[in-house]
Amino acid sequence: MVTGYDHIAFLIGVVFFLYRLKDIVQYVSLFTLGHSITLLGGVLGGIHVNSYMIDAIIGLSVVYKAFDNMDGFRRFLGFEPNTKLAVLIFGLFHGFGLATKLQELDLAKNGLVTNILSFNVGVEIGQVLALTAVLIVLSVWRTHSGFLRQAFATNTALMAVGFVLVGYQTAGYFVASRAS
Amino acid sequence: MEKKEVQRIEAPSKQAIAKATGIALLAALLILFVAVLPAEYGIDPLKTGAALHLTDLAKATAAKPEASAAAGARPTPAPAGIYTAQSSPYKVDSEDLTLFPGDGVEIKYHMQKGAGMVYAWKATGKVSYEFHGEPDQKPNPDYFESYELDDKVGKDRSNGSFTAPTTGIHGWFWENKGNKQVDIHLMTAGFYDSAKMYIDGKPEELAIQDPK
Repeated sequence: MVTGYDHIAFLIGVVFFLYRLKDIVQYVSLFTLGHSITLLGGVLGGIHVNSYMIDAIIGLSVVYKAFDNMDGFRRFLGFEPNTKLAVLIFGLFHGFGLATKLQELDLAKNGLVTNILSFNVGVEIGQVLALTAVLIVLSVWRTHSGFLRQAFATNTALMAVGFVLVGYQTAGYFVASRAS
Repeated sequence: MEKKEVQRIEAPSKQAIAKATGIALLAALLILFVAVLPAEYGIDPLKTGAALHLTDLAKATAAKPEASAAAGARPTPAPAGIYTAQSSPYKVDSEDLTLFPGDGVEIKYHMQKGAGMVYAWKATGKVSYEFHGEPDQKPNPDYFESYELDDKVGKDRSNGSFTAPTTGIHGWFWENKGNKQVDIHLMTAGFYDSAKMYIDGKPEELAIQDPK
């Protein structure tokens, strides 16, 4: 998806229950590290992954995080997968998604590294802006007594968003393969 | 910093989580089949897309590239077959450019999609160059399409025929990466409607001639 709402949705899920600034910085940095590695490596290395498949996986990352926020893994599996590791790994997939968007632009080899770095800086700025808004809303919301109940409903909605993304991208994959 | 008391509440039960997942899945399927798939791809098994006029969105997106070509100032014949008819005669142009070491210059011709051009340029030394085009409708201001690029060894001539893949400006960027002055002579004939030279990004209109 060109606009990046799928990346924001994942990040909202990630920060939803992070209360300390130190944790927020840690998790967001892990995500940034992950996506930067595959964004740079993917474009420079000429790794062309199918954009529909990767965007569907990004949709799955949103489902995963919403499910994790409901404590679903502890309930069903008896343990919670390492959340920091998950954010890093999903970050790698998000980065491939970003790479496919850049690769569609067919950039000249001249100044490619500069272009990728500038693109990544843009992504980070957008990320910071979006997260700031989200965290402001969350910190006000968290002071309300109904927060935990509403959080459960919100994560259900977030999971639905994730499923919609998966369906939308999977359909796109089949439509595109039918056309070619 | 004082510690905030976080309320410890029991995490939701298995049933609650399973129910929530099911609701999320159902909601997603509903949204997909009622709205997203009809609007994006015209997939409308429930016919709700047609009822909500969402399938018009899918059709509009598919028709847009054809519509903009038809609505253009001049009819744009598709570049197929042995010949492509045009409404007016072609133009000719020749330019002489002097590039001191480090200088760069661009010459671009504005052409409709499908219009043809023949070109021949030669230089007194090897120059780095790119044959490229910018569509009039582009996704972002820096967008361009590269047709031929040689910025390593460079060339001292290039001849050929070209068919514009998009309505926009098409032409060459030359750069003298050597340490001696290079003179370039460019000759073109084609169905272009204007020509511009760009030095440091600043455009300058060029006069183009009718063929004799």
